[in-house]
Amino acid sequence: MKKLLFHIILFLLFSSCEEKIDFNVESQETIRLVVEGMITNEIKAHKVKLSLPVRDLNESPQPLSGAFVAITDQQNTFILEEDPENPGLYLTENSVQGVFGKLYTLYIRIQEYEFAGSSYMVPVEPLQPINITACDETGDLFNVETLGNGDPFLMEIEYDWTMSGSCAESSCMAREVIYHLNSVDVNEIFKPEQEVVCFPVGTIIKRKQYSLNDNHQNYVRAMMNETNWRGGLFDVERGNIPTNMSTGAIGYFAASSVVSDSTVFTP
Amino acid sequence: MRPYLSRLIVILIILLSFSNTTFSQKLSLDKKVNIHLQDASLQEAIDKIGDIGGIHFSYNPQILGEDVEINIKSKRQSVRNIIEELCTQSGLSYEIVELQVILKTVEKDESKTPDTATLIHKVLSGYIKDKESGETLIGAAIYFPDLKAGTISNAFGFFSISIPKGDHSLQVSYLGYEIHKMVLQADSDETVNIEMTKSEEVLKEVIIRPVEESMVLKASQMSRVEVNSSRLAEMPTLMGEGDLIKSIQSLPGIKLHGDGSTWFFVRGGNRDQNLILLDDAPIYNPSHLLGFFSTFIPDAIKDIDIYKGDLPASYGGRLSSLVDIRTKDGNMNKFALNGSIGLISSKLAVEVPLIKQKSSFFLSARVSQLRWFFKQFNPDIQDFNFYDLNSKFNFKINDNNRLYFSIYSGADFYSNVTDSFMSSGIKWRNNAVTLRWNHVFNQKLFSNATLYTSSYDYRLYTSIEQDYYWNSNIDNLTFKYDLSWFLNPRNTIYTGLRFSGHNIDPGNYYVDKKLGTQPIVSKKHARELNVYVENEQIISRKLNIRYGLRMSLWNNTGEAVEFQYDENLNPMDSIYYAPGNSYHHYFNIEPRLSISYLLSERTSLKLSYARTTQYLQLVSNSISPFTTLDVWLPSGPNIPDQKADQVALGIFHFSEKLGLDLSAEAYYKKMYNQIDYIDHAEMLLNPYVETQLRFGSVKAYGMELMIKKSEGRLNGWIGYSLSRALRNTEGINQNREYPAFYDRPHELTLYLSYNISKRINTSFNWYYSTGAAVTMPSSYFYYNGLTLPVYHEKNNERFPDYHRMDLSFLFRLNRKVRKFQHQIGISIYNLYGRKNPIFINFNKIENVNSDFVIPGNLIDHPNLLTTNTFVYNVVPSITYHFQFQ
Repeated sequence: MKKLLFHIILFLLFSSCEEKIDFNVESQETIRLVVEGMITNEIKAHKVKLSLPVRDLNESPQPLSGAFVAITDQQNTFILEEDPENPGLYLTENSVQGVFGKLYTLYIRIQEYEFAGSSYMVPVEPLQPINITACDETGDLFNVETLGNGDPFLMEIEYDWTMSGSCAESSCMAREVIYHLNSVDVNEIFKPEQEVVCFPVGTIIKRKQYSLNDNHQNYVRAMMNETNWRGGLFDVERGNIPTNMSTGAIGYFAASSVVSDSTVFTP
Repeated sequence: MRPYLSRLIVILIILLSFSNTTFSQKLSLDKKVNIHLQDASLQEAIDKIGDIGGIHFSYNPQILGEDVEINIKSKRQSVRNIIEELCTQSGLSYEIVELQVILKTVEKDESKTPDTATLIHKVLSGYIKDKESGETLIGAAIYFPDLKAGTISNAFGFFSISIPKGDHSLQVSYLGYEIHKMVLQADSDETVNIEMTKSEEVLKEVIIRPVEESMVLKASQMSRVEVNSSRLAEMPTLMGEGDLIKSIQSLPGIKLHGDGSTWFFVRGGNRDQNLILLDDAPIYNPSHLLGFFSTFIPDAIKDIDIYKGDLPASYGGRLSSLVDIRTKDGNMNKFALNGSIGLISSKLAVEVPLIKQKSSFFLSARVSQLRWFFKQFNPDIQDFNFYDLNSKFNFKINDNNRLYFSIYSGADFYSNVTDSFMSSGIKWRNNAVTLRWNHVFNQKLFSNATLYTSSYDYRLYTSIEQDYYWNSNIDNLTFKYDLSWFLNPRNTIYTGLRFSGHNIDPGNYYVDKKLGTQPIVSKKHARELNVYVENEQIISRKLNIRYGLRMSLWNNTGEAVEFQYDENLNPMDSIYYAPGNSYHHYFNIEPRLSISYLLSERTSLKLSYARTTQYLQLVSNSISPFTTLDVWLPSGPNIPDQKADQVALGIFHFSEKLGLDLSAEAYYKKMYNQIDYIDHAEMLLNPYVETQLRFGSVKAYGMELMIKKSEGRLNGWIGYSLSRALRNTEGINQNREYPAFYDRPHELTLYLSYNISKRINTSFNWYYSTGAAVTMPSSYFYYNGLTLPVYHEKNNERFPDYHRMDLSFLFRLNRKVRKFQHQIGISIYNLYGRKNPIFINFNKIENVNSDFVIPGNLIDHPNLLTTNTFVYNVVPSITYHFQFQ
């Protein structure tokens, strides 16, 4: 279906339908706190990343250091310390674990400004068996096909073929994020073509599936509208992505249940 | 003594003329001559015509008015036509006596046009028809030069006019036809059916058509454009497909959405605020191939009227514009066949007289030949087709009763294999059926009873094999009755009523009919009653006024489920309404007013005001130019009725010397309860879809200028519009006013058609407008490997300016008019290959195949590119047309 426009365009003898352009947008300096944080049911150091928006596409974000960051569940408070090697990255202690049924609140203070956002975990569905298909006709490369069904989820897949013997490039690792949502969106149905992550035999594949609560799903849906689904046949109006953070901050603080697995791919 | 002497001479001349009619045959006035008279006195004109034509005029010099200026410029015109034109301009008449042309006055005081209203009147009525086919002609001008009075045939070719008792010269004109002249003895009420002959002179420099222009100038109607169906055949086309909607997009004040789209916007109105009627039945989505082509077969169209405002009270239901399309009735006299073969589709139309001059049948079909083409590119494509079918049966029961029955059906299919077992696709279909009965009660009272139904159905198949699909549809069944009462010379009253039933499925997913899947979005039903009355009144020779009222009563009825929401739009309760139960209503009164004042014989000033209401709306937050998954929703408890007030002021001038229509219109329009959408509104399969909507106002204003030349070897128009459309909705754009997507302040259109020779025509089209207003990021932030935009303001930027040039040639292959005629059309769309963007994106990377794709590997932050998606490069095409009669 997503190739419908391409077919029409091809038919109408168009030499090209998309080209790179220089389009000058009047950018504005947006002094807003960007929050990217998550607590899961894993026992680990949970991360919260703080930064500022950038004016230009591909510009490196400026990390925000020196903030006071804490996560509370109304009974316990976990203070996050800034990673000295990664400015703007704040970590809990290694022993922290999120629990289903609790409401987690991220609290941030920067100078006199205070920001807060809350989230809760919902159960995550078990991982479906991994489905790997040939990436092209040569049969040398493969890709993971993820069929979305059941509850909404976010799946992070990491690929590593540095040890496979097929590593000839500078980077033999990849990471992709797949989202499955319950909503029906025309721009998702007719989304633009996406780069397929291909890997050779012997690749270590690590999958992590995160649950999404309703609010988190709305955030992800808006995020997809503005990224992976943007520019398709039936594009929708642009709009700001909602947030669960207060005081004008942007981004999202999530609480998710996680399941994961790891596979070494052998056909 | 002088008047008596001149009358005596006239009487003698008349007597002489009757006694010598046998000799009058000897004088030939068929000689073709060239003549150029500019501001000539009557005497000079007579002398020159006499010299060139080799004829002798006889007249009483006293009948020559001193202040009469004659302007005739023509090539290869018969002397008879030139003398007739001379008489029209001078108010004289002529008789042929032996070898002389006798000029005489029409027996009345020419220095003062009589006040037609104060004399004893007789009613003249009838139909205006094409002589060859018997097809009724819409909008033909019926004019009495001596009375300086006239009328225009209605949508069924009918006219009625009261004229003073006595002899009058009558002139009937219609674009593309020879002017029909006759002298009428109005001693009693009379029915006259006038048959017009098509003009075959394609190379005339100037055909002076002051009659129609005079009628248009006098009429109070403004903001209306008529597109002649023959114009469609000449205009440059995309892939050889003559396209009604694309053609009207080149008129000033009508803004196109973008390339590849049939959407258009009129005077600040949204795309769903244009009412498109095909033989009275509304067509909800007039597009094929997602919008690349429109649904109307050009060969099936007889007449198109476009109202950008100043809607007559008989029309309503949409806020912004009306496109009123009438299809051909079919040839009543002889069998006719025509068709064309193009790259996209093939067309065939047949006209069959069932009973000569009484009944005919018209059938026109268009079938695309895309499937074969697409299969060459992609074998996965199972289907890729569209078709249209227009048919009309028309039966003249007697002089007072006519029946018309027309059917339209058009559909699109697209499907392809998505994996080894499944195929997906889209399918949409428009249907319309109209039954009309014209009845002439008497010469003053004309009625039209119409029963019609139309529907639109859209399906998105997720599995064709399993019959899983998302479906939305809308349909109506309507009865309307219109009366035209030609009350007296000063007043024509139009009145009528319309009753409609509407059924709407806003979109549901049907996965297995056997399991009896229940829709989760409630279907909606409504009934609508409209009553209108309007009077077109001639106050004086200079002042015409039209005033009317339209009343609408909208009733939401069951079976339906409606939700109740709290102040934060959280659903609190749902109420079920049983079938037929009326549960919500709106009542609106829509006043309409138009005033026309003649500043001079060739210049008029017009003013209009119209209130319009709309109860059906397309809810979609798509900015795509293509036909998307359309969801229509009715007004109801949670969606208020839309209203608009429009005031327009215009000045209109016809330059007889240059044959040019000049018009300037300024308008101000305010629209209320206009739909806006929250960011990332969830429109599909959302039972609470009302929570995604916000309601605000739109303010639109502007000025439209147009210079138009309707006939002659070189004809066309140039138009410019300066306009704004600004939206203001609480909760959107931080409550600040912002430009609508279709706000394009500057727009320039140029269309020229030139007859190079009798057999070759070329047309040229250039369109320019300010780029569409779009929302662009003002900064970005990063989240989980993705680059996300931050928007500071809605529609803060604009696409690059839109412009496009098209060129076409039409080669008539016959040297002479024959039973079989054929022609070849060559078109070049987007001549200089302008890449007008339909989307600009900031989220792509270039892959190894040089395609622009969304990044999949997020391990290193991908370097994103800004890309422009456009539709057309240079698109040449060729089409072969044929016609057999």
